[in-house]
Amino acid sequence: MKIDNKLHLLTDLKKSMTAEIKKIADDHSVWPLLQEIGLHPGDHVELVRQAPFGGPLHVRCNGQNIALSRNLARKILVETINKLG
Amino acid sequence: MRVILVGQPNSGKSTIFNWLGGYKSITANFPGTTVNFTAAKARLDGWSVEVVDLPGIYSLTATDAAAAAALHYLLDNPTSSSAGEVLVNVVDASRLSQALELTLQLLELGRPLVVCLNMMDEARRRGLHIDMSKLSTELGVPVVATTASKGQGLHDLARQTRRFAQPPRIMPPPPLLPPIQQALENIAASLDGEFHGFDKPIAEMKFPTRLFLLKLLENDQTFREMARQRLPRMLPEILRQRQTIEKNLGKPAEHVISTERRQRSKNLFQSSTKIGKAEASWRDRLDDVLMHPLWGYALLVFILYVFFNVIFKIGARLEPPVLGFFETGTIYLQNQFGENNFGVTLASGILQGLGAGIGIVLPYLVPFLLGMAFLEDTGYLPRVAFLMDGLMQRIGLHGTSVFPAILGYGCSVPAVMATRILRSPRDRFIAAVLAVIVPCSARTTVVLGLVAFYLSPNAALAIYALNILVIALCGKVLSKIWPEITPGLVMEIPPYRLPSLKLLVAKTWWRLKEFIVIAWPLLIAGSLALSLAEAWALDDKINLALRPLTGMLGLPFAVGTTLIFGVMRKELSMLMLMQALGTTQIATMMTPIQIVIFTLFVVFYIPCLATITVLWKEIGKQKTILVIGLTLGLAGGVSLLVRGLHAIIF
Repeated sequence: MKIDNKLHLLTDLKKSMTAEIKKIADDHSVWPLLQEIGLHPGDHVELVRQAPFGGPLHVRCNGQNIALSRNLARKILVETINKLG
Repeated sequence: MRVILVGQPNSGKSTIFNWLGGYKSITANFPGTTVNFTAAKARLDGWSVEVVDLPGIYSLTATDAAAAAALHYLLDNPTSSSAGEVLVNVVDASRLSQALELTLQLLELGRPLVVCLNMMDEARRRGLHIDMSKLSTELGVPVVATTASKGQGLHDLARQTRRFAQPPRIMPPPPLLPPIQQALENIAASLDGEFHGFDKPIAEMKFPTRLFLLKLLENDQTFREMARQRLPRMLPEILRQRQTIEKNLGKPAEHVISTERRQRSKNLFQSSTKIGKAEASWRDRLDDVLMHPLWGYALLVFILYVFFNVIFKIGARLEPPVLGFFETGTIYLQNQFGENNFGVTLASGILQGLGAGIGIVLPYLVPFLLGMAFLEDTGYLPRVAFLMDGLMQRIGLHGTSVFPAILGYGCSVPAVMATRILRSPRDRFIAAVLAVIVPCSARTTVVLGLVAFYLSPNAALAIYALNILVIALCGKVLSKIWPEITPGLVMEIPPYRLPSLKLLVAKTWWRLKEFIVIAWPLLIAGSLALSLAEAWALDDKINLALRPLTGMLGLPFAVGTTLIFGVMRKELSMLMLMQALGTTQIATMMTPIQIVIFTLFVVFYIPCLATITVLWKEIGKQKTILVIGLTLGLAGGVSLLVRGLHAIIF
C-alpha cells in the first residue's frame, strides 16, 4: 500500500533495501516499544530478511539486528533511499 | 558502598557482575532473562561493596515486569550519600548510538554515574572507533572501556568506580528544549510550596523533580500513577502543558522529548565516534543459513533432534542403575526389618522419592538445562523465535513462546519457569497452559511403556500427533477468549557468542536449584503419602471415590488410585497401574482401547504436584486453579471423544 509518492510502509520494503524512518504511528502501545528497541524517526533501516508464514521482519538499524512483527512494521512509514546515491 | 549495574539487555551486565561478585549470577544472550535482580558482596579495588545487577532496561519507561522492577529499584532505593552509591551504566559499545539514550536518562536520576563501554571487541569488529576522552568530556562522567567476556578493562572499571564514589560527584543532566523547559517551569510554579528546585525531590519521592515532571509530560504510566497517589492536584496542570506543547509544536510532548533525546545521543555518538569499515563477519553468513526460510527450519529440526536424542541417551543410560540402587536399598530394609514395619514403610517412601529425583529427573534435567543454557548463550534461541513466530501466531502466541513448549518435552517445571521471558500476563498464561499439556519426559515414559509397548510404536506416535493437535486447538481457543492486545514480537537478535563454560555451569546450577528446592521435597512427600496409603490400605476407598470418573472412561475399578498418584509424579500412574492390577502384564487386564484411554487421560490431566507448585509461584493461585480445571476437563474430553469414536467405528 502506498501512502503518497514517497512514503511506504516498512512491510513494503524489498530484501536488502534501505530506508529512512519518517513516521511512527501515534499509537500508545507501539511508540514506547519501538523507542525501547531503538527504531526512531530519522533512523536508517535495512530489511535483512523476512520470516516465512507471515512471521517477523529482520531489520538492521544503527548496527543492531531487530526482529519485528509485521503488525508493528505496518506502523512505521519509511522513505526508500537510493543505495547508490 | 553500593554499586548498581544498569544497562540494556545483553550489554554484559551479568558478566561484569560475575567478575565483581563471584559466579553467583547468570548471564544470558536472550533479552530479558535476568528478571530478578541479583546482589552480591564484593571487593572493589580493595573496598567492600554491595554489587547489584538490575534487569536490562532500554529506558526509564517500564514496558514489562522486569523493566518495572528495575525502574522502581532505581527510583525508590537511593542510599544515603554518606554510605556511597554509584550507578555503573554498562553499555554495549557496538550499539553506542542507541545506548546513549539510556545514559542521558540515567543522568536525570542525579546520582554518581560511571559509563562502562563494554564489548569493545565487537565494536571494533563493526568498525567503530570511539574517542573515550571526548565522550567522557561531553557527558561529564567517567567512561571506561571493557571487554568483560575476556576480562579486559575490569580492574580499571573498579578503580574508576571507586574514585567517583567518594566524594560523590554528580553531573547535571543536559539542558532541555526551551518549550519543554518552559512547561516544566509552569508546572513547578503551580506547585508553589511543594517545589524545592528541579534537582531536589518532591512529595516523599526520592528522585529529582525534573525527572518526575519530564516523565509526567511524557505521559508515562508509572509516573502518572505516582502523581495520582501523592500529588493528584498537579494532574490538570500537566494536561494543560501537554496540550500547549501539542498545539505549539504539532506533536505530542512524548514525541518531542524522545526525538530531542534521540537527536542528542546521535550527536554525542557522531562527535565521539569514527565509523570505519566493518569486518566481514562469519556471523552474518551463519545467519544466512540458520535463518534461511528453508535451511533454517531443516537445521532447527535437526538441532532439536540431536539435542533431545543426546539428552534421552544420557538419561536412559543413567536412569536404570540409579533406580536399581534405590530399589536394592528398599528391598534390603524390607528384608532386614520386615515388610509390615511402619518405619520401613516411611523409609521406603522417602527412599523412593529420593531415587525418583536422582534417577528419573536429574539424569534428564541436568543435560537438558546445560544444553538449553548453551543454545541460549550462543544466541541461537532468538533465531528460533524468529523462525517460529509466524507459526506460533496462528495459535495466538509469539515466537518466544516456543521455548516453554520445547522445554515442556523435558519437564514441565522448567517449562513453566521459562514463561517468564514473555511480556504480558496473557501470553504467560497461555504459554503456561500449553507447556503443561506438552507431554514431559515422565509422560513420555507412560506413552512408551504402555502404548508403544502393548500396542505399537505407531500408536504412540499417533498420541503425540493428537497431543500437538490439541495444543494448537487449545492455543486457538484461549487466544480467542483472551484476544491479543500486545502488538506483537519485537526483539533484539543478539550477535552469536561462544558461551563460557563457567557461566553455563552457573546457570544450570541456578535453575537446578529451583527444582531441588521446590519440586524435590514434594516428590519425596508424595512418595511418602503413597507408601502410607499402601500401608493403610486406602486404595479401595480412593477407587470407590473415583469410580464415576473411571466408569465414565470405561477403565477398570483399580485404576482410580493410580490417577491420584499420577498427580504426585506422572510416571507413577504407570508404575502404580502394575501394582493396582497386580501384574506387570497390563494387556491381560486391560483391552487396547482401555490402555489408550488411560494413557490419553494421564497425558492431559492435572499437572504433577511439582509443576503445580511452580505454576502457583509464576502465574498465581487463581490461574493455577484454572489450569488444573482446564487440564482435567481437557483430559476427560479427549478421552471420552476417543472412546466414543472407537465405539462408533468398531
